Amino acid sequence: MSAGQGEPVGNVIRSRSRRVSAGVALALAMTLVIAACGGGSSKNSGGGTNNSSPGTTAGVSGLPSDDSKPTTGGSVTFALEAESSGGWCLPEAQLAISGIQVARAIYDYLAVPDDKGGYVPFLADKITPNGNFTTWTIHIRSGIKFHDNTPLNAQVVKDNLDAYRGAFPRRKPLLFVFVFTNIKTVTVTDPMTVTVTMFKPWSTFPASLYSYGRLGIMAEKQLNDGANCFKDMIGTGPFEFKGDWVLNDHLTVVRNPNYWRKDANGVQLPYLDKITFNPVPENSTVINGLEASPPQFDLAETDVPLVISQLEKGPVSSGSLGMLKSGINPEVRYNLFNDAKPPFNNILARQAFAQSINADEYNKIANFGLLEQAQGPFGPGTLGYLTNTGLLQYDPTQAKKLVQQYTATTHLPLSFTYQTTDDPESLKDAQLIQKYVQNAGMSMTIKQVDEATLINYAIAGTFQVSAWRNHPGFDPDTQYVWWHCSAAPAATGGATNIGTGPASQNGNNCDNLVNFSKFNDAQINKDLDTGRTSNDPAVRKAAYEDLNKEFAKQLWEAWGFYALWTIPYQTNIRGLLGPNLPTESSTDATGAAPFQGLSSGNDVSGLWIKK
Amino acid sequence: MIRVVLQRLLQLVLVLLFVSFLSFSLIQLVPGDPVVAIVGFASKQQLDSVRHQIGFDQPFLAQYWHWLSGFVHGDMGSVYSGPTGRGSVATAIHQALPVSLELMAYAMVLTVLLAIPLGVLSAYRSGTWTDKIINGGAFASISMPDFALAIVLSYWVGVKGGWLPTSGYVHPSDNLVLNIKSLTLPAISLAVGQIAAYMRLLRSDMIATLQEDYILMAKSKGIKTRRVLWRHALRPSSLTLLTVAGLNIGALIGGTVVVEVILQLPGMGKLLYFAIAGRQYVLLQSIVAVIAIFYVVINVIVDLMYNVLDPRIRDARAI
Repeated sequence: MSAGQGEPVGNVIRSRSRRVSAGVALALAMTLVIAACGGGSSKNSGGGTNNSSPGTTAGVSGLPSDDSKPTTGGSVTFALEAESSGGWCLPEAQLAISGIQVARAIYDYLAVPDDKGGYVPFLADKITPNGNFTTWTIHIRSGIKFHDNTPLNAQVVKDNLDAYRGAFPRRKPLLFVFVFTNIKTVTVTDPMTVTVTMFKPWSTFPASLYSYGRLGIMAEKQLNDGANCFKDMIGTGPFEFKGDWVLNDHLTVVRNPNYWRKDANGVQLPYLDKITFNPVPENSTVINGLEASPPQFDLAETDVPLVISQLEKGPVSSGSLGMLKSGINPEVRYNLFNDAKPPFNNILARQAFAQSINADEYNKIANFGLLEQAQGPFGPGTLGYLTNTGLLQYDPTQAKKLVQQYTATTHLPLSFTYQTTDDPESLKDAQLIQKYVQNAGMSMTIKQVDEATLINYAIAGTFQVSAWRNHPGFDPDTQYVWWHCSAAPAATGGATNIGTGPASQNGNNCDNLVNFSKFNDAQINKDLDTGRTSNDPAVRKAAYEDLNKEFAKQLWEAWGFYALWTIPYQTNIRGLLGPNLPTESSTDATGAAPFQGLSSGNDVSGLWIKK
Repeated sequence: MIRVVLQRLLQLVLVLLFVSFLSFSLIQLVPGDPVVAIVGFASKQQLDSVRHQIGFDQPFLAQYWHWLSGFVHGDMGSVYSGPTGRGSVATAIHQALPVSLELMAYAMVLTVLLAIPLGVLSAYRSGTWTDKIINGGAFASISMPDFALAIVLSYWVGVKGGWLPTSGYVHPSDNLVLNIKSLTLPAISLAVGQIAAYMRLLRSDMIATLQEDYILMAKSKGIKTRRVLWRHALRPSSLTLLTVAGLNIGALIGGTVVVEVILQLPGMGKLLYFAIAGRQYVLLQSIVAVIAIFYVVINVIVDLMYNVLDPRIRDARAI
């Protein structure tokens, strides 16, 4: 989730941090909030909810076409959009994409996503459920060692899972405890096998074992480390951390000479000797650093339309820089309504807001025409994605009528405060929205705050509408933590006309801490439960598509645009998406192709420099 | 001399108390919960638990006293990373301060090397086209914000020219040449405005000094103009310049936030920004205290240098 430009809290500012884990989602949220940090980038896209022609590139583009054989050696400098000041004590960390990128260099995961939307065992070689998905058996690959030479085995995997779910004494996870509330027990059944039992069926449990790249497996030493867990990182990943971390400047990782993976030709991974990550919140610094000769940065990651546009028009079009773009499984930028408080506890207000925004024009001005308008929370490539959910169109005349109707029924003017992060790009975007809503007869005040405060307001529910970003792709069950309510739907605060239906079906009393909008939609709750418990792809697809349409119908949020993550890179860099994945019987990269999305960074184990 | 030192020490203590108390009070007024900034999303119970661990549930004065008593004993406190992570404020400052000091020194060297000759020339050629051109340039320089100049220089010198790095910092122990190169653009960005200001100050004082009788005496004795300007006129004209330079040096320690963020220097300014944005109260307090100490120390040195520059001050004090 991200508020405005910023990246998540944690980095609070800017920034920039998804689920199967609430933690991931939170991290994502954090990321969003933090995204604004220092970057002054357009991470806040609010935007409209109208059907308009998409301007983005779904799918992946910009990969160098090259059949040359990878060469080993060399080092790269990777510009990240923010610092992860909270460090990498993973059960407790609130990582944004910048932090996840570093985590992916140092840690591995029990399962990872492939290019087909599924999850394949990674540190595990088998992850198998029982008939009703209430028990999962995880068999760990043998022969893998952590960077401190201790072995990866069932005990350390159990301790990690316990740490994430709040059952490990030395660790105090925050959001992951909510993500894993469905886990009943985690048991070591033999030295290389862990058995996990659930309270309720959980067909998509492997997705949670990745958690957008946040559920890395740490060594016992780090797990048990007290105050230094956040900075003494020990994983099994392609790169090792040797202590070189200067806050707000750089973090360096070096090649793990004993990494357990090899490429398809049997060559030891990783290829590079070293990666230096630089947190660079300022957009102009990133652009200049990529364009300089010699370059300051070999790669960067950004979803800022301004940066993408500038690079595309300049060095990318001239061929001096490459740019990997992925619109697959994106997260979505939107306006987060507080559905529990006036005015947006009234569907008329939400409809008026949605129909007042000229999304086409907004996209051209704020996003340089780069992004695809969101129809709902699920982007291209994500199960449940629809090109048309029935979302209301831009219609300023109808918006005015709705405003009048709202005023007539409530005897109140339709006025509200719009919160966003405190950077110039977010202000510009907010002012554009202000223009649209004022044309429809609404009154909007802009309030800019820093990311930490924005998140604070979201937790406390003391906001009316906020610029936000969340819900990255991957399995839609990972969004369960954000929306599902246990309490029966009901109207709070004397609100009427909450949604298109009775309060018994559509309430605003959600008991979920991280459902900041507080909507309690019986249909959405049911669809989420169906998606979690069923293993039938058709049933799950139908459930999430239904959920998507319900969101459009009730306008619990004002969907904006799908994010477009890119990795600008120097033209001698290769292997950006990483090698193929291992198989059950082999650790060589001969299995499925890697995940093509970039919303949780990229696999750096396959990066190499063409000489 | 001992009395002067003791007076300055007392001044340092008072300044430290005042500045740290004021900054501690002000940051308490910033909306938002610092614990949320540190740990992110969590339940109320979790937040309260972390708040208690860190000590942020203590009364305001208790928190301040806890920090102050630790600081005077050399314990600057912790940088909080999540619910259990504790980094060292002293380490963070230890890493950042040398970068800022180096940048400050580099900027001051550039400033002095250019401001003094320009000021002397402008004063000597007062009223001529030379003076007008130098003054015009000075006004233009003062008008340009240092961070805007940093961005412009980064693009034209770094990207287009390829002569210097566009951003980043290289430690001198890694590569001294690259270290100097990495600080050149930031130093120039900071120095340009200061050169103009110092030049103008020196010019004003020198014009007045050049009207003095002893200057006329020196000229009439046949002493060369260059010696008159540099040996006889410059020293007594430098007192105002010295005072302002002392204030500016202190400002450079932590006042270069924007330039450091833009040009990616891990100095005190960037650390200060991080502390404010991340609600790291303890870190912020310690940074403010360190900057306050530097301010006072540098101004003590400035006071002492008055005696060196103008013996009349030393003699007057001796009477």
